[in-house]
Amino acid sequence: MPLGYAIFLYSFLFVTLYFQVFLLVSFVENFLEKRNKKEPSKENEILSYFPTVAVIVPCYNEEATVERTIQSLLDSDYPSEKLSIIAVNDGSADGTMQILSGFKSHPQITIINQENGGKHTALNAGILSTDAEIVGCLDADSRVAVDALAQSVKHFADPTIHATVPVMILERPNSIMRWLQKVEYEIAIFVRKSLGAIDAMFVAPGPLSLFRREEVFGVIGLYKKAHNTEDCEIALRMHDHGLRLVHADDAFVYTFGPSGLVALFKQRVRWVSGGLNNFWDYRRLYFNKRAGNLGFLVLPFMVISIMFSVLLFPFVVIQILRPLIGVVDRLSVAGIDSIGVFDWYSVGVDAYIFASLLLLFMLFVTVFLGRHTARERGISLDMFLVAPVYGLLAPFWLVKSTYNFIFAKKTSWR
Amino acid sequence: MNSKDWYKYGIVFLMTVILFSAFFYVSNKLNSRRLSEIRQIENRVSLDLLSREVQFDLLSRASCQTLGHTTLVRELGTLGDRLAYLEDQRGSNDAEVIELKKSYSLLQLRDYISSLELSEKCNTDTDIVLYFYSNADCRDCIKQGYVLTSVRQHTDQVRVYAFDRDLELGAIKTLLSVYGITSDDVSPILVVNEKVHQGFQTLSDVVDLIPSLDNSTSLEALIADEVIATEEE
Repeated sequence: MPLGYAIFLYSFLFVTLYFQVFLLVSFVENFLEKRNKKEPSKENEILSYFPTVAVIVPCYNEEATVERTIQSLLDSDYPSEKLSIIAVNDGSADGTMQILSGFKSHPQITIINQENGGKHTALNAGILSTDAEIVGCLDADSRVAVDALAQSVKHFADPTIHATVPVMILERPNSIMRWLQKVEYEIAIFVRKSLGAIDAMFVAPGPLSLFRREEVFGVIGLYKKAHNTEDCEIALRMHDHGLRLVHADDAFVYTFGPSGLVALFKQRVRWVSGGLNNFWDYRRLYFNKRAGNLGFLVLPFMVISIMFSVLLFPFVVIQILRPLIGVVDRLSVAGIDSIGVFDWYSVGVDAYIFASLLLLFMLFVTVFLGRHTARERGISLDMFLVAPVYGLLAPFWLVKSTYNFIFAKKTSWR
Repeated sequence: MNSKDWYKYGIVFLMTVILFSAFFYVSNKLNSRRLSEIRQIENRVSLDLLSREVQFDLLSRASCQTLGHTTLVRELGTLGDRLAYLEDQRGSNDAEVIELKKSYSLLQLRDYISSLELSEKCNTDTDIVLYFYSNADCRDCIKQGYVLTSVRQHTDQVRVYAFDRDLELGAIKTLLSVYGITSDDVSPILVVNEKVHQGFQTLSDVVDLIPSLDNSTSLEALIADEVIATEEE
């Protein structure tokens, strides 16, 4: 391996390992703190804090799922007199408005119909139409667990907390791509929980992020278009103003992921290029003391990891293809018998291989801890497939996203 | 950011450094062990060769049958395979790899000379293949290596000796000059029973060049596979 490339590779591995260890240490620290505080168990705790809550459901061509989304809110155990639902039809071209009309006489539900202006305009229309203490968003393809609202809202009893982010679980996977996304969401549960423990969350995702209306939107302003990733921008803006987001470990929200590769690719390009653009817009947070762990660790790491992944991808491809080409050559010139018995001597023992194996093991641990947080299944086959499959797919959307970012290309929602 | 945060950053950094140090330590240990293993094989082969040379000098007091070489052939083969893996992992310019290749090449040459003498004195027919390759951008050399490895694995009747033309070793240069091979000649080059053949030779080409392989059943099956693979291409 050329020296320059070796330095590059080992630097990337070191930084990645550092970040992983940091997250794990934060996760364990948080677990021990909670255990030592002897918080009441979920079943026994008495929730006594019930502010007024308005959940905005922005809809664009959601006829297949919006009814289920709204019904899940209505089925919530949150006191109905304190909960209002604001469904905003953002110029849908399908039967979404007809379905929403079916709820128009419901006392808890307000329907707003507007011309298509983008998700952020729908959210802002909802925020401006309510005076609830807490406002939140629920994507029209998601549903909430019965106690999700109560479990999220209880965190606002702490006056220093300004927003909560729930546990997002991918529901009913019915294809290989969705099974792998489910594992990815489980990793994200672990990451968000760890980032929440160190006040470094950089996204307030669409499904049931809740905010103090006055202290957040009244102070820092409403949602912006923000490169089609308004959830990332609002979180960064909150950090910029010293506002806190926490992870609501017991608030579960269920959502769907794209079923096919093309839709997944488009979604991820939107997320990553939107993220890069927002990270650039908020570059004043980097290594800024008031941004804390977000500025000193998380944001720099996100940018470095994207950059390194793009630059190292050719090396990874060569490392995988070289032995495969060797096997094909050997078979073509000397037949199948020439393959011979496997010899351990042929397995590389360079330090980067051990580092990569440890990172892979840590990936399994994060999946396991994410599942434990979501109170879901233990070990399964898809855990072992996500690394090789995403390892091959992700660099393509990272490259495309980086290209979009550098050459200021716009992304689309769908 | 408070002092507790900085403390945590420091602890995690220390943990990561310890882990990384462990990776490099284990890697170095395993690599050293592999090098040591190769050197041990070379020492064994060297001793075996010396033993055979002494036995050979005492030929009048021993029958040709006692001068067996099957084990030596396998040891040399194993040594060659190990060196190939090492070269692949550490690169052709690695100083240790170059030194080991030189030792290996000299051991091969000693075995080659010894085989020629044995063949003459005991009146046995041993097919010998000298294979000259280059590491400099020669994909045919890699393919030729697979073919010859396959031959070596399927029969003990053929001795295959592989030499890197670019290795700075006087003995190899002498051997090349003996067969009139110059720097203009393109690798891979096979010298089969004293005849020079340039360019890639398929498995069936090699079988045609070596009389004793004509009746090898296992190689017939391999050639059939090779024909099928070529037709599919």
